[in-house]
Amino acid sequence: MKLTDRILLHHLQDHFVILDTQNTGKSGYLEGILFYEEDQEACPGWVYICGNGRVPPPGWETESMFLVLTEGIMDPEDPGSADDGKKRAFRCSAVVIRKAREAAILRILMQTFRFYEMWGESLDKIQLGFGSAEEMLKRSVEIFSNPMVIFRNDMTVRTFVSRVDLSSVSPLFEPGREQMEMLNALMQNEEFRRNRQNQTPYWGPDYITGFRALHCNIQKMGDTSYSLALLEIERPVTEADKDLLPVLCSYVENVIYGNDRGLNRQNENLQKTLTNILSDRTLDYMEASRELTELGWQRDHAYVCLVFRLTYLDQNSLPVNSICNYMDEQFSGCCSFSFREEIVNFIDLTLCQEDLDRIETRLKPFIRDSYLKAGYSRVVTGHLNLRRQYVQAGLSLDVGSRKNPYLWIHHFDAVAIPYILEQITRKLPGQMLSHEGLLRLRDHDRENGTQYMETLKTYLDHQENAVQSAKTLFIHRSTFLYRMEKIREIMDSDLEDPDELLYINLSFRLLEQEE
Amino acid sequence: MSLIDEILQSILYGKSKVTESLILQALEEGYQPEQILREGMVPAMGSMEADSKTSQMDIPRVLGAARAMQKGLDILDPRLQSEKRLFLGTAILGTVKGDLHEVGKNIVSIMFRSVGFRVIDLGVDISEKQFVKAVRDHPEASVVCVSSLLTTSLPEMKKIVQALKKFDKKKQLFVMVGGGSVTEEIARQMQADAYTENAAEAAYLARAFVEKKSPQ
Ligand code: B12
Repeated sequence: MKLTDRILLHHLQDHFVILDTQNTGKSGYLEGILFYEEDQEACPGWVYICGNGRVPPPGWETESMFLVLTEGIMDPEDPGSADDGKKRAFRCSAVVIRKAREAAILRILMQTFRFYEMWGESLDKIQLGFGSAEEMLKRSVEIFSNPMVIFRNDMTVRTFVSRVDLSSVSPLFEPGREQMEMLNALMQNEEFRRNRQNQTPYWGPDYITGFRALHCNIQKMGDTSYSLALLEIERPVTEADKDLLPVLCSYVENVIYGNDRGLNRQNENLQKTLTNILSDRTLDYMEASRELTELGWQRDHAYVCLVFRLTYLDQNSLPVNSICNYMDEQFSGCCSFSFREEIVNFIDLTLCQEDLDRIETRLKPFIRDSYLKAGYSRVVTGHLNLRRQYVQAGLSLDVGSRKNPYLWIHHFDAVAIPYILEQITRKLPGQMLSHEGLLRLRDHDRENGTQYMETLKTYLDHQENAVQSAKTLFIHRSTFLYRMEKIREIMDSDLEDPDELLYINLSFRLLEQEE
Repeated sequence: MSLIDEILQSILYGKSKVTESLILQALEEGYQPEQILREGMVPAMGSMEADSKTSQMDIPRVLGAARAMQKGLDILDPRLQSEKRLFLGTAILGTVKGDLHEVGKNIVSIMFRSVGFRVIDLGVDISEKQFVKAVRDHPEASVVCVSSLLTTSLPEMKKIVQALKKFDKKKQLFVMVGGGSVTEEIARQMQADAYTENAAEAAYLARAFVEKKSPQ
């Protein structure tokens, strides 16, 4: 396995006294070890041991090398090279070691290469044997001596290996409200989202999670969908760790994309049936209903459908899984899944044992803090309307968001009238559908500056009560009655037929909508 | 940068863990909780404005700030409570229907408790029916606080105030309104009993009302 100067230095430190270092971190990954010889050309990508105080002449080295020099050069009493050595700045990474023999340095460097070689070999074996990411992490505990976690894009945990109880480290590792809160905080954090593009290891936002962790993105064709994190819990994360983590990462990448079976959610069967109900119009409803019954969702239970729309711009970071899992965990009798870019939740209210009011109250802060927009269906008993409830919830959300963009939570009651009006004007505009007499009244107002429309509207709004209407309009009762007389005349109607009154009321709405 | 400024910055950038530890540090260094709240925290939220060009807020960022703010409030809350546990009465509190803003309301809650009220916090997005039900369920309540941050939710607020007035025939209740979208003028028009611009004043005013009603 190739190693960097930082990794090697980390091990040299354990055995020798380090007098000086230059350009640490610059070497890149190195093939192996060579001895420096005056007459030989420099080989980029290797470690050079320069024994007995020898120093390569200026210009000899290239940038991607690691020079291990011994004391002689730094010894002021050595007349030959000491001052040169001190003055000499190297173009590559270099370390100066106190009083050490070449052979001793070689032994330590070889041991180090061998140690990681063995690690690499076991990882290879795991990969070839179709082993899991978890096995790889387990094999790496002796290398990192800290908990390792593979996070999904939404920072839920896919796999972890740890000798300490992670739930005591942070609420991030324990399902529940606090976990959701932290996940939201992360998803909404700019730095966190930016980090997803990183090609090299980076520190996660401890100012949110409360623990330090070095992350390395696991990418497929340039898209990050996981990150491998090294938590700084048992010992400080070293510079060497920063170079070793990407190595482990590239192995993990292979097994994850090789055999990722996606989410393992208990609700899978319910999900499947419900997805069929939503998508397959030719579905045998009796069969679907039987399936639901077998899964505990009975025909005499009450159901509600709730649709969430995600508002994140960055589609890659949609916390869909974490939202679905949260819903399933928080509400018994809830089945939550993603369907056509939205999250659909069906709740069996009978199983849930919480009334809808309470569910709604609990969901409000969740919807807000996850930056979702939500639409509720009405509550219906039985299975036959599940698909229609989904449509209803979607309509609440669509029409509601259009009519009241500042609201984030929508109910069907609030959108029913606008929706009905929208529907009836699909073929003809409102004006063409409206009561003719009312249109005449409007024209009369426009031509003569009268207020007959307002008068009639007030009259209808007050259930045809003249006294109340006059009061609201701030006019005398007789004035009001006179106006009504004129209105009846213009409209050529006695304004008594209930159907006609309904038509006029509807026409008012249609005309309002067109304005 | 002063500690207070650092607290403000940490909230602006949603660094809730940093906010928590800075507030603890400030308390240790002898800052008063009221000062931290007034100078470091409230202005942080207040300074989050919509982009002047697009008039859109960076909502993920605002949510992060609100979260850090809430974490900070959780630390200050117990320290703002009066030691001599006097009991002034019960106050009911909520943000109006359609409105999900809660930070201001939560500060009102803390301030009311700090002067000795028991607070029943109904939460956000509360309809007139829910307010009236709460008042009916808690006949001991003497004050109702209605908060609104959206201009578009002012009609709801008006409905709530009217419903409460209609329910409270004996005029026992003190109905207060506030929040970013309310002004003195608007409060008067909807016939609320009181409006104040900030939470501390609201609590003092409510205390004065209760004390006047039942002088010891
Ligand atoms: C935080 C915030 C949010 C957060 C709320 C998070 C949360 N957990 O609360 C989120 C991101 C959810 C949000 C959403 C929206 N927001 Co917003 N939001 C803000 C912001 C930045 C700060 C509000 C705040 O917390 N202030 C700090 C607290 C302490 O102040 P306060 O609430 O006024 O409370 C003080 C006093 O008013 C008083 N008080 C409060 N309540 C009461 C009650 C009584 C009885 C009394 C006496 C006193 C009192 O005491 C408090 C302390 O002194 C403001 C902008 C701003 N700078 O104010 C916009 C702002 C309020 N939002 C705005 C808008 C438009 C929206 C959205 C419609 C945006 C959108 N495109 O969807 C949505 C609406 C969602 C909904 N349906 O509610 C506008 C409102 C414009 C208007 N006048 O109508 C504002 C003003 C921003 C802007 N300039 O455009 N928002």
